[in-house]
Amino acid sequence: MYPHERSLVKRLENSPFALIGVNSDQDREKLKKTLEDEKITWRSFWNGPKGTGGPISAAWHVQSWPTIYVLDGDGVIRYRNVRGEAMDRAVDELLKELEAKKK
Amino acid sequence: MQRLIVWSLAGLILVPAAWAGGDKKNGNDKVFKIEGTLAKDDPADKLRKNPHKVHEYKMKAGANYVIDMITKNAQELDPYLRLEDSAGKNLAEDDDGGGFPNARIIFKAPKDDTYRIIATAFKGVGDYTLTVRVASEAQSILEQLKESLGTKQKELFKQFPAAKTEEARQKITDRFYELTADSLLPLSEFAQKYADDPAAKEAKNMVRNNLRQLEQSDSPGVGKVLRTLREKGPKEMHGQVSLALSQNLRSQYERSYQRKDKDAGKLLKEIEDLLKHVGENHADLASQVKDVQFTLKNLTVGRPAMEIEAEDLDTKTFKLSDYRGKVVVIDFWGHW
Repeated sequence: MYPHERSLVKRLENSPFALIGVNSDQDREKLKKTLEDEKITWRSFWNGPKGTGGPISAAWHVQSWPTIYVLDGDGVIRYRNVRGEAMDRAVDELLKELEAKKK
Repeated sequence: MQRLIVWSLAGLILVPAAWAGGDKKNGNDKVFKIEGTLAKDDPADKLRKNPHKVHEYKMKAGANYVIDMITKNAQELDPYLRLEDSAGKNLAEDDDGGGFPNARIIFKAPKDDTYRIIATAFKGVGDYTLTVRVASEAQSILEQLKESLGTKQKELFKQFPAAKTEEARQKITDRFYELTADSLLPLSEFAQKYADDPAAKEAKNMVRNNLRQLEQSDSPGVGKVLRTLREKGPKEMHGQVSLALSQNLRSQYERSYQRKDKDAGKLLKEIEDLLKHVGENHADLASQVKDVQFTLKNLTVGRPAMEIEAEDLDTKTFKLSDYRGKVVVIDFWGHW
């Protein structure tokens, strides 16, 4: 996952795009090394000390990890659980849509 | 006196029947039962590597057999069964198929042979009861249903590595779910017809589990089968089938929303009506209906994402809505 996400974030660093994580590790301190090692620069909500039993994943009925949602500029869910190339296509399409709206 | 005659008549009829099976010990319509013990110094099974005992049993080609190994003390012995043909080829094995921790193998003998039942352990040693019986008519029919579904799905699995495109793989997955869906009506009819046989319970469980699997499929073919099942299937399944159908239609709705189909709205209305109907008629499914309704409202393509407000990994609080105006990928992740 990380390499693909890294390249997506890098490719779109000047576009109106954000990758937002919801992290379900129990220990935030331990995670700092992972962030460094894996060059995870994007921001994450923390799901709290209960890990996968935390409040955000519960509110979103998340049952398997990773779970992906893609939102458009209006905050509307447009895709669920797209991975790899399909995720890139979805994001590119929504960016195009956003661009067209501005004109 | 009269009673005596009846008894002896019954005896006359019963005795030849027991002999008809050939081997007296293995009389095919009797239960073959052995009280056995696995001890620490019994030789290790070649595959399982735990102590084992071998029980030989003659089976007839085409017949279904139910082999049970039941522990006398679950704290000491967790049974494990294997089955070999007379040449020692491994044919089947099971750990907890008889209900944890007991082992059960249901086996259709491909040929007349003296089969080797290997009674061994997943863990521990101790006393067990081993029984072999010819499956009831119902059990045999259920085995056939299972086998025909299993064979078709195995064939599909074989095609998977050759499928190069995402579309081709999706097609196989859809077909897999459709086969599962196709099995539901025969299984539920079976469960009705043989309601008194223990096999009916197994069939009902299969229907329930298969329905749960189907919730993940957005194949229109699956939707079609579920609709038929809803109309023609047993009443007691109506609610579960409707729930599975609503999940399937939800995924179909998402696809049609993404394609910007005109009819997407119609589909959404159908799902809402369906859920309302289940909620009103099946009190036992109320909480599941609520879940799907929540999902439809908050976690479905086309719906505004729920707000998230929480700390980031540096303890700074932020909101999802801070990113309005941008395309956002939300990734529920963890490093484990």
